[in-house]
Amino acid sequence: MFHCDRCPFKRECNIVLAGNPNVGKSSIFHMLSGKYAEVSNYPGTSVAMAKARIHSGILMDTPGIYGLGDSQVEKITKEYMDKADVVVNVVGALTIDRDLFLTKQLMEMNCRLILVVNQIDEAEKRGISIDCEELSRTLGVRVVKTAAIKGVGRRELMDALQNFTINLCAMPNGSANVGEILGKCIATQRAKPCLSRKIDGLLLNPIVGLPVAALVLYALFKVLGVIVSGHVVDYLVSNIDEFYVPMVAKYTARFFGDSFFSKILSGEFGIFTMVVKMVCGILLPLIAGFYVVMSLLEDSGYIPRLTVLTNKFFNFLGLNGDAMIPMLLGLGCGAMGTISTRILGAEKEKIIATALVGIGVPCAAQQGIIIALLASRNDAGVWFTYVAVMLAVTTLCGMALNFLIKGDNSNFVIDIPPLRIPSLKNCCRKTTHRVRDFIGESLPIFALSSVFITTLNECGALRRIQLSLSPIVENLLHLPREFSDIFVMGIIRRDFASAGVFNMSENLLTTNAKILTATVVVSLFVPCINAVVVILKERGWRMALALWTGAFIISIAVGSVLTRSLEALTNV
Amino acid sequence: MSVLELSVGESAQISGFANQKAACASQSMGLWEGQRIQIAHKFGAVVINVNFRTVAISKILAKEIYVSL
Ligand SMILES: Nc1nc2c(ncn2[C@@H]2O[C@H](COP(=O)(O)OP(=O)(O)O)[C@@H](O)[C@H]2O)c(=O)[nH]1
Repeated sequence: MFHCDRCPFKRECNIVLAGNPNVGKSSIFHMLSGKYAEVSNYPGTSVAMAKARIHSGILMDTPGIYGLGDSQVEKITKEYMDKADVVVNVVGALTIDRDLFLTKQLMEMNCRLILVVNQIDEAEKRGISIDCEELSRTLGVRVVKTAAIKGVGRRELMDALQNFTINLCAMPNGSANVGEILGKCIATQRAKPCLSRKIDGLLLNPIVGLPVAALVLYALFKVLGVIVSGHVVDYLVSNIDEFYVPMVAKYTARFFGDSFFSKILSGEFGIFTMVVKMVCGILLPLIAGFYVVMSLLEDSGYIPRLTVLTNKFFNFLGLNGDAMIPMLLGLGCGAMGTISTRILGAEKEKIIATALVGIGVPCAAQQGIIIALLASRNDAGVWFTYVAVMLAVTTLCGMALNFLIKGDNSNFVIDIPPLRIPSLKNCCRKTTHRVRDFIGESLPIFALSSVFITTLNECGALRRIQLSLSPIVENLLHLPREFSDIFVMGIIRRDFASAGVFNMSENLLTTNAKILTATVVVSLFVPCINAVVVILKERGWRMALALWTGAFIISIAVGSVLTRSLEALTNV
Repeated sequence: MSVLELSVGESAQISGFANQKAACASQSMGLWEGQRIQIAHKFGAVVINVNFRTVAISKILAKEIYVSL
């Protein structure tokens, strides 16, 4: 047990993990605390702060930063450093020449440092040895070597933390420059050719890289559309419909008769019928499948390569390749994507990225359902049209915003981590946590929405909403009147609305044109309530209102143009 | 000459920066004066191998980093 001697109350010590992105801070956090912090092989994973108690100290994982500059993330991290009693500065063994730049800045701030040289296993594999004793002498701080994913160095680091108060007199002296330090402390015995760089020769080459990106997208479609949706979802939904729903309906009718309460539990929009079917039968398998594929991609290090390949495209939208991170996190959840726009360097980029995440990036649950819906048509043209329309709308929105919003762009600089074989354990752990988070967050909202919609239905308001929305739904979108219910669901959560479309596809959305229009409309529809709250917090009410209204108008406008074009094509 | 003028496969040593903003962005990525770099790719962004790392930078920034062969 250790306390900080800076503090007169002998309170718990604040231990802050700091370092460049992707050096293994989250892995160290997990190694020390046993608690989960999301680990991915691309920069910018930890946008939020994770905390855990270890040996009476509070350990905090901070977002990765390259320096102590003026960006929003850097300022927030700096505030944490100011409050820290001990800063555990994690550097990567292969990236130490870059990472020591931040170490020097931390020393200039007079932080009490322990330097952790992580990923030492990778350096050793490449024939690189780091003399940590020399490094410690040169910098005047305790240096510990670790290989966090293997638990190597855990005891030494714990020991360094526990003895830190005793060694406090050893304050850092950072007089040497990085070049000198490296010259003294790093030896390369037999630098082995790096396989990752050879593969990069292909992945970063557009002739191979772009078809590979298309192949990855296709694999995602196959896994979700054919395996998960075609087998798992079909099996679950048919069993829920056949056995579970009638059973629940029977028991609620026995106990509560035909009352309002019975409708809330097991009616058309009931908590134990519709919500269970949507969450357990449709959403759960699809998002689990999506997250497994995403985890494999994230951990392999493929995503930063994709960022480089798409940099040029993002330039047209007033963004740069860095925007790939909010877009990708937005593919998980819109609220997360919006928070991660903090990593972007310019205000203009933050606004454009927030808008594009809000309008054109469907979340994991929504994508799972959309892929399943489109795959059920067994027509590659349907899938191609959907992707083309979504890309076209997102590109046009980005270009329009780039034209309208004045301001400079930030420099695009990204570190490309080595390609790694994804760890199945990390992939399962990450998927389990993400799925658990999804259930924890969405289930109460789904249950409340179900009560809300049942109430609207029972008091006749749903019918009135259907009637008032019928000019939009029937005349503009050429969809069945019941699609108005989807609008009500979509205002609450877009994935809820997509699951509604999935339900409806069985009997009401029978043609390709109707399925495509419905999926495009729900994909472009207004951001979910929780995403709106985050946009309000991050960008203010004007942006939230503009985005909400803009998304509503765009979804209807695109839907009505699309439905007419598809009908015209079918008639030709 | 600037990094942008180097062709794929060519190596050079960083000799300076056009302005403070470019210097800061580069240094935080471990691209400081004296570092030897090699150009790996130039599609979408300029991909540079430096020591054991690979870094991608925009073409605008590549123009602002000066090198000597
Ligand atoms: N080989 C190896 N890989 C590691 C080690 N620590 C972390 N990694 C990998 O490095 C990547 C980044 O790790 P993460 O903890 O997310 O880094 P953070 O962004 O600094 O929090 C992931 O792919 C990890 O699996 C290590 O000690 N050895």
